[in-house]
Amino acid sequence: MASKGNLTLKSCNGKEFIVEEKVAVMSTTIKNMVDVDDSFAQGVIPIIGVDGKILAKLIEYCKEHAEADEDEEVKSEEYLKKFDEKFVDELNLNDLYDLLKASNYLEITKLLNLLCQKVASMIKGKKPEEIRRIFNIKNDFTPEEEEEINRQNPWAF
Amino acid sequence: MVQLHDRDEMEMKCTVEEKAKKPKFCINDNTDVLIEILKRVGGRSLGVAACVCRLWCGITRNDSLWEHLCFRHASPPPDAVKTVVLALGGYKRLYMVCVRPVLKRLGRLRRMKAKGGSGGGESADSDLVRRVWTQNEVELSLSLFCVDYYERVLLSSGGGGSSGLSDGEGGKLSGGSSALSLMFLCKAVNI
Repeated sequence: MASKGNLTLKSCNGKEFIVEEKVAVMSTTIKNMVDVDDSFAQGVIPIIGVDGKILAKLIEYCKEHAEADEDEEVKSEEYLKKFDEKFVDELNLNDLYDLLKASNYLEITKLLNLLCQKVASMIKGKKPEEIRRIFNIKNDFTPEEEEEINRQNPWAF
Repeated sequence: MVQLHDRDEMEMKCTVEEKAKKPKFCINDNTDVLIEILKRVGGRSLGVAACVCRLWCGITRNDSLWEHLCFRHASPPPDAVKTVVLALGGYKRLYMVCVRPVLKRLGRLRRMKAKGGSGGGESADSDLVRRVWTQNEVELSLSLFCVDYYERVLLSSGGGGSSGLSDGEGGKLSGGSSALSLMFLCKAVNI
């Protein structure tokens, strides 16, 4: 049972995390749940479709940022920037996907921004074939369509 | 005890399934997120992205991505501008014939300066772009866009009839070519 000011979040595989409310409400989805229904604030909030490993990552991120929002002296902008860089650099592609999906669902805007920026940087300067390989995307153009689409964007190559 | 055992087994099965399933998870499964990602790549990468697959191609046809690209270095102009831009050919065209050539020239200017001077590097580039690419330049590019429209549509429809407008537009756009008066933007001139 969480003490006052704390919330309990439960991952889809049953792991429970007790976090401070200010950390949890970095997620707009959770904030809305708590605002609308007081019983969530006392009980356990199920985080559907997010497993324990990913939820722990989300909480790690939100904790740093919530603390920085509260006290800029302790965690400066410079510190946060470094933290963000390290945070995304350490992710493998699967975790990156899972975090993207989770932060989109939980509406953690700052994190979603950061992750989208990371994926965008993986796209920049690559050829279509390389992009397909990195993200495991099937080329579903017919040869004619592909020729046409390449003809329309010659400046990109 | 038995129950516990069952649950363990189920969990194990679950993780095995997850592992088998995971590589199949595709960035294309979540279009909202994909749009957010493509908003953050540059113009050239957006062109490459169009060639990746049908879904990406469809997303890059969305003019709001190009709108974002046109104005990401400046605060967006008032809403009324949107109507005008759309009427004159859309944001992709605005980017291709006005914004991109101007940014390219700024880049060239920077490289020349870097050669002569101490070499500013990446941050100097974005600084320069930000400093020069202000609200005034947005207005300039919108004016250039009007010139482009005037020459491309109004003048050519006088000569060749307006029936081929949409075809011609597609062809011209694909080549990134612009109205004659705007060629100075693309051709190297001594700066």
